[in-house]
Amino acid sequence: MKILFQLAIVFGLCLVGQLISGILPITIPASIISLVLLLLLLLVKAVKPRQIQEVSEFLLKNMAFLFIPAGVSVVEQYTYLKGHILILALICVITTLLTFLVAAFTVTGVMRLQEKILARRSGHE
Amino acid sequence: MSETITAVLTNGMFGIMLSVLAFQVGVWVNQKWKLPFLNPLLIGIVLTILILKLCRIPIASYQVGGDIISMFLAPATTVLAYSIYQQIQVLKKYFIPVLAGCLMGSLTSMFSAWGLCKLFGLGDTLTASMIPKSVTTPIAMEVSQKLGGIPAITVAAVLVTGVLGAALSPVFVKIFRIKSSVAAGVAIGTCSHAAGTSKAIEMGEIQGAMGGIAIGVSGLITVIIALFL
Repeated sequence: MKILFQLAIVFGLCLVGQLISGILPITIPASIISLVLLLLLLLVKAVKPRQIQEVSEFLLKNMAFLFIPAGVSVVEQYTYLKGHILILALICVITTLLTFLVAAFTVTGVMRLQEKILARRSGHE
Repeated sequence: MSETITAVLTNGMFGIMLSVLAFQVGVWVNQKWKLPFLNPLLIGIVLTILILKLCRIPIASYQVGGDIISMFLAPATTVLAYSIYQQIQVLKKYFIPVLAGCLMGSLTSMFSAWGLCKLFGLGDTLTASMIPKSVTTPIAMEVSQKLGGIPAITVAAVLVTGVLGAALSPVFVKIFRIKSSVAAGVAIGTCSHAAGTSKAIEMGEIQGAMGGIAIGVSGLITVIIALFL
């Protein structure tokens, strides 16, 4: 019963997210809206972590598995991809690497900058 | 007899069972050889496709169960809020670096995809389909359509990118010596959305939470940048 209730909370949030996503004039996916909604509810303590704990941990732990059917359906797009597969795959590899590097080094760079500024500020006081 | 077989194969339980077994083989192979590109998700997908093709089972039959699994993608994305909430202090402390990483990463993803497509002489339609490939599927499809791309190609590119992110991100972290878990999480979420983040979750709680943040933030940034393209 506990798990069912947890599922009901999460599903309910997803449905509300879908509703809001349909009404909004710009495209924000339903699942992102429900993510923000759940985070807000947790922050204002309207939902307590233990009320969704087991279901959340189960879904997060098995997230990779949930992508299998979506991956299998790529085969159905074969007609569109034919003739370009190698180039498109190569582009995916290169952009993934570049994006990873730029994002990672921006975070570490700005972190260092932030720490330097904070250190200087506390030094002046 | 053949009617009975069709009934069994179009039972939702068939697709779910096949997916679970294929993924389990993936987990097993991954533990045995520990090669990054042999990740459970990739093996699971390839194995499922091979079995369906070899047994001549229509993908539509498989997807009866597959759709039930895919339905759980939205709840799984939603409960990333749970892991973000657990790490809210880390996020508060590093809010600006995280935001900066998502912004620069999204810009890099879109412009490098555009540049490479042009470099390889791909047409405008293909280019437009590739530009939003690093973000979560619904956003990517919408942006692709707006730019004049083919959403089906975008969906494929999004998935390939996600699987690549899941397979390669641990290698990237090691080779480029990314010591900060926050930086690793943001980078994974920005370059390969939720599929990559599934790997970030396995790497650690902070990585998973930051991946979750990056999926949302980079998605929104991509929508905003696309407004100006």
